[in-house]
Amino acid sequence: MADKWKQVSELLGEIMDEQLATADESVSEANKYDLNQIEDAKERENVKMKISSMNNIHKRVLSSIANKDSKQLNELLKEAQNNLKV
Amino acid sequence: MSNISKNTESQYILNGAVRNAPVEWQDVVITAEYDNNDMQPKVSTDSFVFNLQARQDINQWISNGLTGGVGIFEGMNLDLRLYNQDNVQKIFEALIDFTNDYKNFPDDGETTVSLKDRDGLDNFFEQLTGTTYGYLEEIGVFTQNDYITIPYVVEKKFNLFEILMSSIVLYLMVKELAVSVRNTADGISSVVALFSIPLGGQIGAAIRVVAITLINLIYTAILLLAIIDMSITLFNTLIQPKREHKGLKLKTALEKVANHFGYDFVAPISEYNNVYFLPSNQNADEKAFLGFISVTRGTSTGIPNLLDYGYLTEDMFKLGQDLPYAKMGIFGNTIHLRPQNDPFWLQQSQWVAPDVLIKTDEYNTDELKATLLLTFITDLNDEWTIDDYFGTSVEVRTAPITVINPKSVLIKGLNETRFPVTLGNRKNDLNAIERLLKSVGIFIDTVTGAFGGGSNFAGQVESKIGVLKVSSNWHSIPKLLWLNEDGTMPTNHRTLWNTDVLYEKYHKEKSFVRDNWHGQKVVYNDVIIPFGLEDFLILLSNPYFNYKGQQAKMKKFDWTYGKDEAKISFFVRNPYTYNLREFKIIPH
Repeated sequence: MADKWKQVSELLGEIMDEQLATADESVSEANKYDLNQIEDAKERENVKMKISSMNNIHKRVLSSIANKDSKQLNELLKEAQNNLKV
Repeated sequence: MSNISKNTESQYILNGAVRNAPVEWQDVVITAEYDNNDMQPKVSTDSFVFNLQARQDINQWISNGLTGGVGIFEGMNLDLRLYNQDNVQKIFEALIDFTNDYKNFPDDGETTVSLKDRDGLDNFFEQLTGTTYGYLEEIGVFTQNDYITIPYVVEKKFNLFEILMSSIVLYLMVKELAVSVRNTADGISSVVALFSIPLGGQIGAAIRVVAITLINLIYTAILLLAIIDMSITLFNTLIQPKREHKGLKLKTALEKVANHFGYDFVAPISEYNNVYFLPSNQNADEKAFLGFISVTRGTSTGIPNLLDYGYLTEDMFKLGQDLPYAKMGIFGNTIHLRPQNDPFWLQQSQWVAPDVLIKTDEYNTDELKATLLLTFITDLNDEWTIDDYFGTSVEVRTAPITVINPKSVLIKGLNETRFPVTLGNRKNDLNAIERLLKSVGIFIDTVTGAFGGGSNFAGQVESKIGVLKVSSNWHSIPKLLWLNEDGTMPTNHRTLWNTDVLYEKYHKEKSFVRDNWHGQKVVYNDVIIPFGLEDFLILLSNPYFNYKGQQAKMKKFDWTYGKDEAKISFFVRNPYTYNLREFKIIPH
């Protein structure tokens, strides 16, 4: 029984670490994009807004995880679903 | 024997003033009895009859109780000063005890009073009588600073229900985990679907990936936090918390009482540096919603409870003496509590008995019982005191080696010393539930690590090892525990503190077999000898003396000081049979 609990906990820990790393990486990649490549001014503004919102949510997610704040994470989930639609 | 025993003149000093001698003082007898092998005697006298100025002073002392004086409930000093032609003098410092045999005869112009030794042990025990630890704590003699924190756990002897319950809850938890994982996957799929509308260019794809990874991360975090919460609830519900009692070092319990009554205290008994008194616990835990324990309640103070043996200070001193078969003596301003086999008592021996004709020899055959039993008691509210019985009692059987007719054997009877407290039990290892929940604890700690760590649930389980273990929170009999300074119990606590140790170190003194037939004594009763004040003063402090080159111990003497003679009873340790052997039984 002890081994099973250990395996599950290690697996969950690995999943969490992986998710954190993937999110960091993808946010970082998105931030490197040169927005001037978008010719349409309206679309450029729209994308700029999405990236800003994405950075804001990412920062708050990390903060909520550090504080183990489930309630805040649930709110961020809704916010992410609404704001990051493209 | 000194010169002072001859041609003695006397003076009576009442509260500092020399007064007339009592009527017929020549016939007054002072009796000293060393009951139960005491080291200092209980001293009693015939009543003294005073007249004239002495009588007036005594009655004035009582009357002063109405005009601002201390009155009848404080004894009046009476010093008996004896001296001789060599100008050697001794003073017996006594106290008039108005509460015992005081009578006034106005028509005869006489008043009778009785005396007691001002600094005698008897006087100390009379002060103890009726003085409780509750009172002493109330007036600040005992404070929280005197108490030690004793960590403990409640662990039922049989916990099948808890094992069953934890198994069911664990099953439900794992099931819930599986459902949550599936829901997460569904949730993520739905969100991904929202982003399936293609956005032109590379940036659109990048933002879509970011959105998916962020939502994945949030889902995973929510799921893990829910699992952690659920695990913590399970853990706190099924794992008994580590609790705390307050206890009091036995030596401190005795010493502070002695100090309160104006004495210093010496008790060189090695066990008393580690043995602590834990009162019974009558406090109930506070329960939250659904009956979960919200606040644990151990003893809040180290002094005995009202219903505990030892609540009366006199009882605690009796226990303090009974455990190491000790006796007490007062020397100067210091109370000594020492085992009877402490060489201290012999070193103090100064008196030499005169060589007089002794008409009868007797033997202490009445002191040998077939069975000697030393026993702590058990507590039905703490099953571990019954389960782990080793050392709780020891039985020593004495029997003849050679027997002609078994029906004619004269050794019979029981000598039982019962200590009305229980021994403690140490939590040595984890039980089945704890082993199971330790896995849950490791799980929580590991998963919490993904959130920055901080929990140590596995450590909480392990930290219970080494503390006191009881089967319910309401142990009803106080305990005497051998503790480390941090309140935990050493692994060998039971080998350090048990009845066999007490027998081998102290109570063996009673044995008629061990240590060269130590318990066998030849007794001499009612021997008339010349006796004076100095003899009396020496024997008040110590009953051991030298009799014809052998060590002897006084049992009783009646001193008629007006005649310079006493009737003494004493014994000398001399074997009178080798046809004995001992068997020791230590129940487990």
